[in-house]
Amino acid sequence: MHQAIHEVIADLATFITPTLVIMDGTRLLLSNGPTGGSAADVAPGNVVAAGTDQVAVDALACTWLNVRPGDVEFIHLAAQLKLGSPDWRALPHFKEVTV
Amino acid sequence: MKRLRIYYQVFFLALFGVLMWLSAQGRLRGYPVTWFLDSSPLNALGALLASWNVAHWMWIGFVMLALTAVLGRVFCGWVCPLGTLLHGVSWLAEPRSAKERITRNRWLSAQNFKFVLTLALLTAAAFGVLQAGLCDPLALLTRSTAVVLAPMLGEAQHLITRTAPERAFQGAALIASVFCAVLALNVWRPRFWCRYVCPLGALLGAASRWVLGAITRDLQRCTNCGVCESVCPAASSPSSTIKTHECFVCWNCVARCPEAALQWRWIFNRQKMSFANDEKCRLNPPATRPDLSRRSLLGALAAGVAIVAGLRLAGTTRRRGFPLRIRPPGALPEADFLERCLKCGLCMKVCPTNVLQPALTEAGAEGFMTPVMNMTYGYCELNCTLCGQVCPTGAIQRITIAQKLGHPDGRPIKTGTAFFDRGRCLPWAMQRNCLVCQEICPVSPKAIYTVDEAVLLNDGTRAVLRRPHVDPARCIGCGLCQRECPLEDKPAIRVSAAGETRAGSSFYL
Repeated sequence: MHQAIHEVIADLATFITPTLVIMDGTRLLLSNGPTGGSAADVAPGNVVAAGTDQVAVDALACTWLNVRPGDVEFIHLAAQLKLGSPDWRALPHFKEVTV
Repeated sequence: MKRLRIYYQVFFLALFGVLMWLSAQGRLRGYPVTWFLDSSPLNALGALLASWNVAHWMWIGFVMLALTAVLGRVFCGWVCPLGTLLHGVSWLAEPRSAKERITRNRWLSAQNFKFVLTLALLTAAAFGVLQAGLCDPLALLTRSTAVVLAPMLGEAQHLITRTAPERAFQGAALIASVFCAVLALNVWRPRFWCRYVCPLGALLGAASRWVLGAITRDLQRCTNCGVCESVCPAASSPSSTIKTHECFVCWNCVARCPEAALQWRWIFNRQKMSFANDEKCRLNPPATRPDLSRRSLLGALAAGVAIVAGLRLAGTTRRRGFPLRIRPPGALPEADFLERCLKCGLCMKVCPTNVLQPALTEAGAEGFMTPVMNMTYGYCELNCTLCGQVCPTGAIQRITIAQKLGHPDGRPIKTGTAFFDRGRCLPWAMQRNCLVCQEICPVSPKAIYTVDEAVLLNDGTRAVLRRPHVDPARCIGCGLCQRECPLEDKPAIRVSAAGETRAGSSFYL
């Protein structure tokens, strides 16, 4: 599975189209993950994203982890499969709220 | 009293079962699960002779020895959970005919074998080779429960509920065969193990030489009917001169004697007793020591020395000759470890991931059945020190999570080091990215790092591969990478004992 991880993630996403996607970025593990991360590797993100487009939410979350969405292959593949749009800013109902 | 004895036996067998049930991850909350192992003076004396150390609760064994010196082998008849199990099997296999039972309960000189065995084991222990635990009944039953009975129960539960976690052990069939043989031999002779083999029974029998009270026979009342012989599980000759070093003090003969000739009596003054020949009561003084020839005692000493020499013939046991001798974290340096480990298997019982396995050839002849980590079965869980918590002798020391992880000095306890097999690893040998080991590595910072390398593929194109490496300074040898490597049959990253903390310095890592 890890040998073709990007294709596998995109293929799995074709199975089910979620009604609502919620991404929790309250705490962000920035290195040594997933198993080895210690408290020192965690940064406070204090962000939550919700949407109906799974690709857009993934692309937005990449920016929290200091990764450019364009560098992530499975996001490209998912866009090609028409599972969603990586350009979340162009979405008709995009809104940022501070609580 | 006979009924009381049966209550005691059932109680202690049930207690043993409960303590074994508690010896598992999630149930262990400081309960004294080692008390049965501790109560064996063979374990206590063996470990004392080998390591000059009485760890944790091991002193209980010496209390038991003192109790035996006063009351005889009450442990065998009233307490020992293996004895109770064998008593039950013997009872089930009992023939109807009293004549046949008398034949089966006749004392045989082969019963002296156990005394020779004990002396040989203790001699070997005095030279630092502790093999007493292999034949100690408590260690044998604990090991059999951990490696055979509990996994069998788990499998049975799995068949019904489909939820129980699977537990498996290498060499389980071997341990099961020994256990089945110990059970089955009762069909031939009641409590075969206790009569002929048990070195703990022999040690307790030797201690009962000084007993202050025993079952004795009144010659005036005895009609030589033989009922006592037909019910004696210990073959201690109650109808003639009763052998206190064999007697389990089980009260069978006292309960069944139609003439009340057999009674438990104080025997403070044995000399006076043999002359107490009045018309009302004429006692047959018991024999309180085994009739062993000097030759057999010398033979036992020689056998003990032979055990030491024989098990060390390969010469590598205490050196670094065994790459797969990966001991759990907290284990003492190998020489000290072997002087304490009873091979009881309690650590294997509590290990949450099943990684602790009884050694077959991994640790040499001397280390047979000692715990080693085998990553085919599991891995060492980072935040776990359960094996050290239950080790009765301190062969695996009680360490804290902080000590294990190296907080705050930054020097964690290494059990070994992981090595890549570049002939099998996908990014090295197959030109494909993988990264499972790097992602799974549980230490922080990670001990597996990657280096991006541009390579020419077979089809002539160029690609960048992320190739993994091990940082030996960070690797603790937990084996999670080996366990999770996608090459399941023979992982491309494997742990060996190289660089283990307990070996001290002088290794190149």
